[in-house]
Amino acid sequence: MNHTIQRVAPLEWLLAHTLYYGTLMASAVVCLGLGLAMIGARFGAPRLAILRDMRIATIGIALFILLPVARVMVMLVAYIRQRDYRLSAISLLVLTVILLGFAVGLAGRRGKAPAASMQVRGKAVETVPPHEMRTISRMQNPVLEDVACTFTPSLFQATFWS
Amino acid sequence: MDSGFAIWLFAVSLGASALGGMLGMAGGIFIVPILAIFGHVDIHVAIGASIVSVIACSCGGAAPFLRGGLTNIRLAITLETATTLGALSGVFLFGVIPTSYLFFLFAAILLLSAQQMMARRSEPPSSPSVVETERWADALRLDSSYPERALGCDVAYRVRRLPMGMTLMFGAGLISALLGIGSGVLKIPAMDAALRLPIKVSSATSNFMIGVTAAASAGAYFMRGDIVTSVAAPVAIGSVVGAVLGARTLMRASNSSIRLLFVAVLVLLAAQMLLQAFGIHFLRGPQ
Repeated sequence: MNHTIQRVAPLEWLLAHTLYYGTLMASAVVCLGLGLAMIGARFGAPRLAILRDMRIATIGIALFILLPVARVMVMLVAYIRQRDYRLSAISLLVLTVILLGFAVGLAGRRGKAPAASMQVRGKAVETVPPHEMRTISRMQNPVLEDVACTFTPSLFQATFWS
Repeated sequence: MDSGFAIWLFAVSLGASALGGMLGMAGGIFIVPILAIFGHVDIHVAIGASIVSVIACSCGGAAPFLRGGLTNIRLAITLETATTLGALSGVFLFGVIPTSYLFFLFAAILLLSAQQMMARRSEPPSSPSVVETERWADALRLDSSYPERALGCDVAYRVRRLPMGMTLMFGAGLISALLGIGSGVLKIPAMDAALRLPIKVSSATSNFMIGVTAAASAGAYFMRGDIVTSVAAPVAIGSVVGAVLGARTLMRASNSSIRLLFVAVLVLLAAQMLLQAFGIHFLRGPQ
């Protein structure tokens, strides 16, 4: 890599673009999801449609979380190509720690008792195992809708399966 | 999905992020207490929402610093090993620590921020006479330079005391994960006192690092199911819009009356968080 020709180093330039357009894309997806959910809430769309709309916003949030991961991956590839093995190892370590965070979260979700209570807007709410989520009617408990989005990984998968 | 509540969340995050951005700090430190105190959102849900907005602000604001040549990306990735490990430790503590301790810790961080805001940051003194025999910074080629517009040339700087900086960064990552904030409060002393970086470089590099630090904990909270989309989504969008607006009005940052107002807000929020820690509720927002 030649750093002397350009005023801005190529790696910095690439990272700036990745982060800028990544933020735009994630924001757009979250906005779309929120907008659809709000329209759905206003005009009383069927329950499944609302759930799907919140799924779009959830995907947007996942994109936000994955954006720094992508940034570290870009740096890792760049340092390997520059044959800067010390910095490559450091980038790989950072990437591993972040992915370990995902793994820890996944393990924590499995180990967590499904009936752990939590609060949304000051109301105590019982959380529900994801597989039961679809069978519970919105009419029975309107607050559950907020909690539905808590089980993001399973909903995330469901979006790809459907 | 309660549209009114979503709009309230959006407005609050926009305000907090814009005001924070005016003084060059993240809005997370305001968002969590406001959601917890006035929004009656569970503090764990507020922290989950805030950590996403911290990522959004860091990534959204990184581009101008990178193009300006202010961000030291080699130093950033090196320090990120410490911050992400700290964040991972924070994730383990998050589920174990009692909620009242979280309020207490948050109050302490708010007071620390107020104290830092009162004491103006000054350019760290460079001490060229100190010769360090074995320097990590040399092995990793962390020393760099940045363009200084006032002088019209590049200013070279050296990275000092890396092990001490790494230790402080571990703490910053831990606090970031526990409280859902960018924890610039702890990064600034690390950058100033230990590494002795120029202020512009440390601000840009710290902002760049916050996203990756927060991703380590946000990934865990997301997978664990601690991030509630209906709260996190409006907060994330509000913060991004607020950060853009706040950065535009950055020139007023030196205004001492705004600074004083901020200190008052920080102390007030700290007092309320302390009361909450002991289970006393005075202020009640609209429900």
